[in-house]
Amino acid sequence: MLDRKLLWLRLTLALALGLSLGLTYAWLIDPDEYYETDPANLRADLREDYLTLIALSYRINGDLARAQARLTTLGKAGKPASAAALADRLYHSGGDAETIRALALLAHTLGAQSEAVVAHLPTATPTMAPTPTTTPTPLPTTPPTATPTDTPTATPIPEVTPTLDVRPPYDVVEQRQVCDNLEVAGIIQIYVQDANGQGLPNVEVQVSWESKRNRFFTGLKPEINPGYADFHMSPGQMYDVTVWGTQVGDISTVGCSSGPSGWRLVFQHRE
Amino acid sequence: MRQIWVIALVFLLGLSLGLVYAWRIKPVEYTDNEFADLKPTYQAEYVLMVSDAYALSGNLDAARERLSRLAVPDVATLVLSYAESALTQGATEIEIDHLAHLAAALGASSPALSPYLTPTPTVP
Repeated sequence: MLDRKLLWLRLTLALALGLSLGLTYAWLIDPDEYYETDPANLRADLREDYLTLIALSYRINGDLARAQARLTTLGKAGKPASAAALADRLYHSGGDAETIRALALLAHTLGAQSEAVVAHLPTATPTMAPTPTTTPTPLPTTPPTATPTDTPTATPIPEVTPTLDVRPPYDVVEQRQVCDNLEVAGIIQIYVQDANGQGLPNVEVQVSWESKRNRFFTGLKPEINPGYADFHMSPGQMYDVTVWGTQVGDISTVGCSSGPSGWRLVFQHRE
Repeated sequence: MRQIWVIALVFLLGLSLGLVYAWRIKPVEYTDNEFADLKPTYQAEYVLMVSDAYALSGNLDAARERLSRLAVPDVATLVLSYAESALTQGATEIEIDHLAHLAAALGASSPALSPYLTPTPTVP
């Protein structure tokens, strides 16, 4: 009986010893070197950079589902409150206004609030759908208008939730069909201006028709206007012209009794 | 004598179980990783987001610095390869556009991406 007990004891010890040695070797001495990780396992400062990129990406593409999917991969660091907290920290440390705005927008959209979120979202603007249906593609050399009017204060967060302004930054201030002008016949003349009416070069303009699209930039004919661009239409074809998400549709050469018409479109940046 | 063999076998069994568990079932989880350690799918997402950020800010130095964290020898070629992959993998026009512009800004381009970089108007 004693021998039997002794045998079981030895077997148990042998198993435990083998197991311990195996674990020690594989975890401590020679761990599996080949690994690939998720964003959740990034270094803390890199997780914040990843979060910032998610926010910047959301700011430009408006794809909330994708932003949420990306946030999920960050684990706890991807909670909306983390975006709000990071926006706050950057806000108080004088961080980049565009980054703060992007984080604030993402946090706000996902329901998180903080001082920076409130401070960086415009107030008293019309309510629009939170996800733009048209995604503007800005030219990298012309950063979108970032007017950091916000100044840090120690005032408490207001009770009123600000309304997010997601309107395209340009308004159409003139949309005119031009007849009886041979120089303009068959041409879409596009003028892009700042809020003061000055021409803006390097602004991307998209002209689409059927399933085709052309993209070009203002400023290629500075002798006419720094914010000028034009496009030659084909007779009978319908065109849409888009500047940063602001679209003018149903443009064509049809409509003038005297012959092919031209168009003059003026896009003005909002204040 | 027979007991010793049985004990040795049980020891080896324990050792094997320990190795399998620690190498395959619950391997060491590395924290504080770098971007270069991300899975390929997340690296692709990272590059795409860097191109979005570049489209938003136009800050090429920031984009280059972020891409350098992937520890690849040639970031321009890397972005170009993602842009070309995006063309064939059903990415949106905007995604391809941003990747193509970033690749071009870094000095890499290809004929397949040139339609996304054409800045001049043409007669339809």
